[in-house]
Amino acid sequence: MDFETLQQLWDGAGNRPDPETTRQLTETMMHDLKTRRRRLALFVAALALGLTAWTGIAAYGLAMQPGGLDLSREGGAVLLLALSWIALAVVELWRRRHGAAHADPYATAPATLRALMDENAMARRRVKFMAVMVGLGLVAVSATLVQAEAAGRMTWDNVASAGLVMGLVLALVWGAILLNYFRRLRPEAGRLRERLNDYDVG
Amino acid sequence: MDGRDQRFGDWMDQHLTVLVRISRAFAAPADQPDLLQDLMLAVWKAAPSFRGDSAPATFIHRVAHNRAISWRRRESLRLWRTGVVQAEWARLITPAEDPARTDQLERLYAAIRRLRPLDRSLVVLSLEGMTHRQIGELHGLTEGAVGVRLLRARKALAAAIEEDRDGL
Repeated sequence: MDFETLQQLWDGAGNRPDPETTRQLTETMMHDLKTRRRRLALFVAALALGLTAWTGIAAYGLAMQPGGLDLSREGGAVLLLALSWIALAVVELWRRRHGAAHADPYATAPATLRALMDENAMARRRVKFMAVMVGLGLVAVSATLVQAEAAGRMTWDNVASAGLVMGLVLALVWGAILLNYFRRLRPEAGRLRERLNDYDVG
Repeated sequence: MDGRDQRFGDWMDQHLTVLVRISRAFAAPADQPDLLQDLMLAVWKAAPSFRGDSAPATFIHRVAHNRAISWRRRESLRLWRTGVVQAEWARLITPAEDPARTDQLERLYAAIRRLRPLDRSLVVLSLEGMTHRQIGELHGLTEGAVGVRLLRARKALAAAIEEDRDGL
């Protein structure tokens, strides 16, 4: 089998996509990208609005209603609020990064692979950080619930139910983090190293 | 429509063929729409960085091959997956008038997919008519190294085709 025959096959009409579908696909793809960018921006704005309202209410309770929120007894709520703001900042960072231009499209393939390996290493560090944050979240939720009961805002039954639900949610998040680390990020690092090694062979 | 979208639209009208071919050369048939979608997204992201000192086709090749070499199946399960390409894929790939040619082309793609990712890239770029120098710039290799590796890749391709009982 000579390369000329392969070349003819490659250049033939059967190896070109349908022009009309190409046009439609491009239009649909661009419309879809715009819709997703808009939805994500709205989602982040709604979260920010909710958190601002929560923060405002907490600040009002502290400043205008002496005894409304006792930090020494209900500090867990403030920690939970702070963690929520950090989580929102991470989501916003992710949103901006997604829309940002490609890091360096002019880089050579090995340089791109090395950059991806750096990115992978950073992602693994970020996942570890998130795992710690979720652990802290669990502590904050527990503290908030115990303090709410001590302050007479909740009964033990309510504390137990809320604790169970929040504990389950955080356990699920932790599971997702572990899955991401061991099923995606670690194998990806190995695969990228293998691709890069191809350049060193021969 | 902003400048990036305008540029992306123009490029896709003219060069989507390149991305479709790379998708078929790098991903298993069931995953080809996912890879094409990833490649389109990579080009859209890279569009603002285009300096204009080379042909758009060269730039698109560079972005797409960089993405394809590091791509793997499960990555497309990310939140961004849209399924847009999946819906259009069957209509996008038009079979040749001669069914035998369609069959040969499928076998060629299958043989290319059996190569190592770097060899796949070299073979596809060569079939797209890029010079050894252009391929070398993309892969950070000298012209000589491209020649040697391409020769080896073509031999591997021929062997992969021969492995197919009926051949091409």
